[in-house]
Order: sequence, then C-alpha cells, then structure tokens
Amino acid sequence: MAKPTKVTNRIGELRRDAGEVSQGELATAIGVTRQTLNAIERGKYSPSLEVAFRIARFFDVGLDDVFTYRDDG
Amino acid sequence: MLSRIFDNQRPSPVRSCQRFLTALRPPEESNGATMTFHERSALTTIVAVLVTFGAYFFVLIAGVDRRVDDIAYKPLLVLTVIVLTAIMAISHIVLAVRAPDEANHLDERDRTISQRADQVAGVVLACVVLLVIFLTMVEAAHVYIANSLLLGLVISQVAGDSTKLVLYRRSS
Repeated sequence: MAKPTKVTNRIGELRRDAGEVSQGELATAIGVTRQTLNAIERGKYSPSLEVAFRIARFFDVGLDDVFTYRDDG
Repeated sequence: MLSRIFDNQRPSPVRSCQRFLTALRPPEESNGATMTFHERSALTTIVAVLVTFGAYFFVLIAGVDRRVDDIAYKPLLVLTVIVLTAIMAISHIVLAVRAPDEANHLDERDRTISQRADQVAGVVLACVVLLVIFLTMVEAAHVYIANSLLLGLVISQVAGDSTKLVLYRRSS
C-alpha cells in the first residue's frame, strides 16, 4: 500500500502560505481524512488524480505547482 | 458546609461529558501517528475476535477427551457470538463518538486498503474451504467440519484486519 513514490509535493508549504490552513481543514475540503492528507503530504501515499486536482484547485494553483515527479533514471 | 464546597467544585455531568468527548477527538494536525476510525476498527475487531473465539476454542479443546457426540459446541457458539456482537457494538459506538466525521466515511486510501485486506482474507478463507472439503471427503464428524469452517472465518477475519493494520501503518 505504501506506494514507493517519486512524487514530491509542496502541500505543507502551500498550507502555510495560504494562512496556516490546518490539515483537518484541507482534508475536509478535498474529501479525505486528515490521516490520508498527512500520508500524502509526507510522501507515504500517492493520491488519485482526482484528489491531486482537488488539492491544486483548493490552493488555486496548477498541478505542477503542488506535485513534482522526480525521475532519477 | 464542607460538602457544599465540594459540590461547587464538582463540574456538572453535561460539562464533564463535553470535556470527555473533546479530549477524545483526534487532533487537527499531527505527525501521522494517530489512527483513522477504520484503523481503530480493525484493531478492535482483531482483539475482540481473538479474545472471544480464543476462549471458545480453548473451552472446546479442553473438552476434546469426551466422545465427539458429547461435545456441546452449539450453546457455547451462540454465547460467543452474542458476546462478540456486544463487544463490537459497544466498541464501535465509542470509536464513532471519538471520530464522528470518519465513522461513515471511506476515503480513497481506506477503500484501497480495504480491498487489499479483503483479497488476503479471501485467499485464507479459500485455503480453509479446501481443508473442509477434505474433511467432508473423509467423512469427519459434523463437529469438526463446523468448527473448521468457524476457525477459517476467524483466521480470515484476523488476517484481513491484520493486513489493514500493516497497510495503514506503512502508509502513515
């Protein structure tokens, strides 16, 4: 289940920039539990495309501004 | 006089209850160590099933020196199921009070973990069914066939919920 992921994200940074949005508030807004959002934020779980778009839309930024794919070869 | 002072210091039952429920709510933010409702549910189920059916099989095996026809497993089984149902109902009410928002909500991570756990439980159950088919072929006593099926259900439930716990911990 812990998908080994090369996807990194800036969710924590974006939450702080948006005025200290809590994990609970963001999780409720995108329809997941706070624990799932925590797992996504820590890179332990790769969200579905739908949840990824919801996160990006919440911060009003593009998907690339939230998630980055690191292809080290 | 003294009792009046103590009475004034004692919080009202409603306020005590509110404080208790507030303390039980999960934190707004953490490093991921807290469990979701479904993770707690899996842990509770494992403990409840192991305790109740552990006791059931212990009592059954303790009386195995009797003749097969004399093993009165049916009343014991009914009692075990009633106790398990009561434990599960009470524990899940408590869990739902702790996290009311999560109780009736499965997000995508919960669904994925649940599907993987069901796969593991299904494989375990299939193996036990094969064993029971073998017991039937050798015309084993009903008590052995019934209890092998029961043991299979217990093992598959524990295997499924243990898988859930492992997957939740790995992805938190």
